Amino acid sequence: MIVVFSEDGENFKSAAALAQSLGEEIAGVAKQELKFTNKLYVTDFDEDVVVDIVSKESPTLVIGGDTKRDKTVAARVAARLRAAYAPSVVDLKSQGDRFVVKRIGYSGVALATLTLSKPAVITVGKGDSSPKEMQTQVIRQEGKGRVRVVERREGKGTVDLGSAKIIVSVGRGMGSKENVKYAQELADAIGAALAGSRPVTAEMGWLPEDRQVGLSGTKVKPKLYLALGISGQPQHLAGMKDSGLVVAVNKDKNAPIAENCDYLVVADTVEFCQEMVKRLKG
Amino acid sequence: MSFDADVAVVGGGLGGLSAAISAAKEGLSVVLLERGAYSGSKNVSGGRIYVHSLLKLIPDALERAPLERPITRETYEVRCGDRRVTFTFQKRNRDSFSVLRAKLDDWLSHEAEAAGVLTSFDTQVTGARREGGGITVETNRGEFKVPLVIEADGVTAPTSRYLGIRRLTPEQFMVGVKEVVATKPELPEDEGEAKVVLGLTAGLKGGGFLYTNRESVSIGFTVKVESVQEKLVKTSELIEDYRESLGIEGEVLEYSAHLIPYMGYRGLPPLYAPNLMVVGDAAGMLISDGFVIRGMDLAIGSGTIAGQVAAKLREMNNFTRTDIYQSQLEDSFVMRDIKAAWKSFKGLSNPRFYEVYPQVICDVLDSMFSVGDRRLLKVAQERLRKEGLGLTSLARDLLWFT
Amino acid sequence: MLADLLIHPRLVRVEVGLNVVVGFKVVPDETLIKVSSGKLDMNVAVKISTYDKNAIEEAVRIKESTGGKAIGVTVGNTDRKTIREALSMGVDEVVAISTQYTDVLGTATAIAEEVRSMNPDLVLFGETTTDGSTSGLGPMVAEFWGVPVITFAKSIKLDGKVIRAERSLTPVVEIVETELPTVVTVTGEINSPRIPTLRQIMESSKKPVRTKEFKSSPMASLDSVEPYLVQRKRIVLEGKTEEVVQKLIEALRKEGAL
Repeated sequence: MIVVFSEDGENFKSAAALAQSLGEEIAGVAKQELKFTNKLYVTDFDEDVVVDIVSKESPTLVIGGDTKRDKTVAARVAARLRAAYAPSVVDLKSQGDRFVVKRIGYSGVALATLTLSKPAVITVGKGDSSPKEMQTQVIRQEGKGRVRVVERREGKGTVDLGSAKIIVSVGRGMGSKENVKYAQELADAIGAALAGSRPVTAEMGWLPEDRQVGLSGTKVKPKLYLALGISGQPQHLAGMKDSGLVVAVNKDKNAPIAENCDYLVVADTVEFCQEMVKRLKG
Repeated sequence: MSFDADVAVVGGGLGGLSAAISAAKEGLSVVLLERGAYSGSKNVSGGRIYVHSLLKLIPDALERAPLERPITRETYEVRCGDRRVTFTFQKRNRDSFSVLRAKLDDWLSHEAEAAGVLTSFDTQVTGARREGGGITVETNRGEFKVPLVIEADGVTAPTSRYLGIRRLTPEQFMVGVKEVVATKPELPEDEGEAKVVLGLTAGLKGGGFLYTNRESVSIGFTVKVESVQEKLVKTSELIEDYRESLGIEGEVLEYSAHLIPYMGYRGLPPLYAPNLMVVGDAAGMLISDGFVIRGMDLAIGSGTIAGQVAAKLREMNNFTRTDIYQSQLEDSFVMRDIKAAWKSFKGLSNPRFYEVYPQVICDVLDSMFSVGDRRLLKVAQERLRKEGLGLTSLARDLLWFT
Repeated sequence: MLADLLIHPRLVRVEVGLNVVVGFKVVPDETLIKVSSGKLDMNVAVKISTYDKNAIEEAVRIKESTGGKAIGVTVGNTDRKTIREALSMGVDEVVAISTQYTDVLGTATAIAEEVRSMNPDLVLFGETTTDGSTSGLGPMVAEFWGVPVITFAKSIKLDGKVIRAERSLTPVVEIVETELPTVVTVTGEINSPRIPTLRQIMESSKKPVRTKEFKSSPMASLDSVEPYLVQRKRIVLEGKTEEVVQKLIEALRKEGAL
């Protein structure tokens, strides 16, 4: 038995697609009625409740989604089942009574290969493959856990950075919060989503936190990633390494980003934005 | 007056660590302050160490220290355009090793911890003042009072300057430019090469070097500060040219431009003051005689002596008698070798070594090998005459080295 | 006085400080890891994993404001200088558990064993470590210990035995509440870790470090660690801004990226 779960519908699909490729019976846990598994528990997704549902299925493999809540649930399931655990895997192969997985470590510097004994718990991010629809037995299961939600605030102006085709991303080198508007203008001109590094999102508040690209933010893979005034710390690189083409704009030729981009434009970030907008509109 | 510790060592390089280790081994309470996140983080990484003084401090260092390769080949190379003269001296030898400072210093800092030294990283000394019979060190982590400071804070000696016993002038320094380049050396595993290269520094007063590490090479050169200013060249461009001329390809793992002391025996700064001893680069301890560049063994040697003197001072209960440090230094290899190198040091100030002689040597050998019937001395004489020099001035210049 | 306490049991609570256990990991500094000859050079200086420092800071603040104790636990590399850093930040003592390679499940097993014997009010971890980055340790310890877990907390508030936390679950923020004892993992936003003074560093050398060994039988074995490199073109465009922008636009159009 494989159990697939995610609080996010899209992520549930990519996990289900992977599960289907392994050809075993599948149970799912989701918030919506998504018919890609033999059996589906529909629930509000209280973490205690999901951990119980998943663990009771005695699975040989659990595939969770990659949201922060999913990973919290996955780790608890692994502990309860005393199972091997590997979150955010980028590759999975079944080898007899074991699984061989690959995942990124050391803040994006290393690719690790791990062998997991069965049962195993993994999580996967959103992918391109979509699962087949199936005849699904739907079971509703609610319940209350030990942690009470007092208030819930949806992130404002949410953009789905994970699926953006072009991203303009700003860092400290943009200079000031006021200057971010030039990046926004550039993003508008080329139809890009605006994102930022950890310092300008989580620490200085130039952009909302949900715009953060990096190890502790969103991992992105656009066709074009424009890094404006981003020095390129490993934690940031970890979030944008899979981008198609990377353009960095930086005054400092020796910043680490210089090693990790296709084009390095040595220029002032604000001037660069203004000039780009002028040319593209003209 | 109550103190926070017996000794504060300012600077966590080889000199500071050696001082801290030898003082801690004598039972003193030692705090070491290093501005980098770890020892070696602020260092130009590649280099060569003559291990004798390290072995005195840590007898089994050869088995445990992260040394790269023993230097078994000494090569001297003179370049003039596309011509070159090379000679190599080979000897199975374990006197000196190529090292990567980031690793070596980090290792020695763990030795210091194990010896009971309290190391405080990310600690920047911002001032120092005399107070209550000792010295109060001001840092980004608050103040700290000690009866004795061992200064090992590098070539610009900030602690000495805070205490008003030292001034800097540009003539006291050279610029060292270094790179570590990833490349697999074509040498047996247990052999390493040290190379001195003349004629590749674009006529600047200085020389180049190359050391083979396990899986990389350290290359670089040292030039006088004023010659960089006179010739208006960028050191970063120079090192790129230098790397290409040496025919080295590979990823540049580290690059760094640093000041290094250029003082010679007569130009050494004050090595002590009441409650203060100065070691290593901060004390201007560097030997560069045209064949070898040595600093690390002098730093370790002077540091070790300073640590021992610290213990003696505590025994005497008089931390002002740091003059003992100077006299112990004079009796040690540190001052003997610096004194012996004094002559060749002066010789190196002579621009002819960098501008004229490489050219002359190449020209002489060139005509020797292309025109078989001319006599070497005659060619040399003719060639030198063109530069307005005689054989006597050549001889005189060379005599500095003997 | 006694009568006051009986009438106002909350006063008693204030007198009894909270005991906090904080887990932290000694990891190679990932900013120093370099690729040389196609291999990763992991033999670099170590540090307290970035967000674990936030957990230590939070533990010390709670200890200071309630007058309790903060005990550090670390598993794996037990580098004494790094452990002393935790102590100089204000942790009262550290349990240093050395072990061979272990997976996060093994680490959680070792820590849960300690936690059970200490029976604290609160156990804190960083949201993730900079080496394995599984974010799994806190949830696993909570599961083994049998208490609730709150992950990715960017602020926490304690009121008696009730803990309230703001969870950063990008893009959602949740305010949640539960009763102690509990496990919480904290994000980097929760505080700015203090820089200990030299005198605190001196004092830290006198604080106790208990060393232990743990035999782990990992369920996930590490077969290989390779450099994760994406080869980039690294073309440098330098000069007047108008000109480089023109060149860039042409290049991007040629690549089909615009």
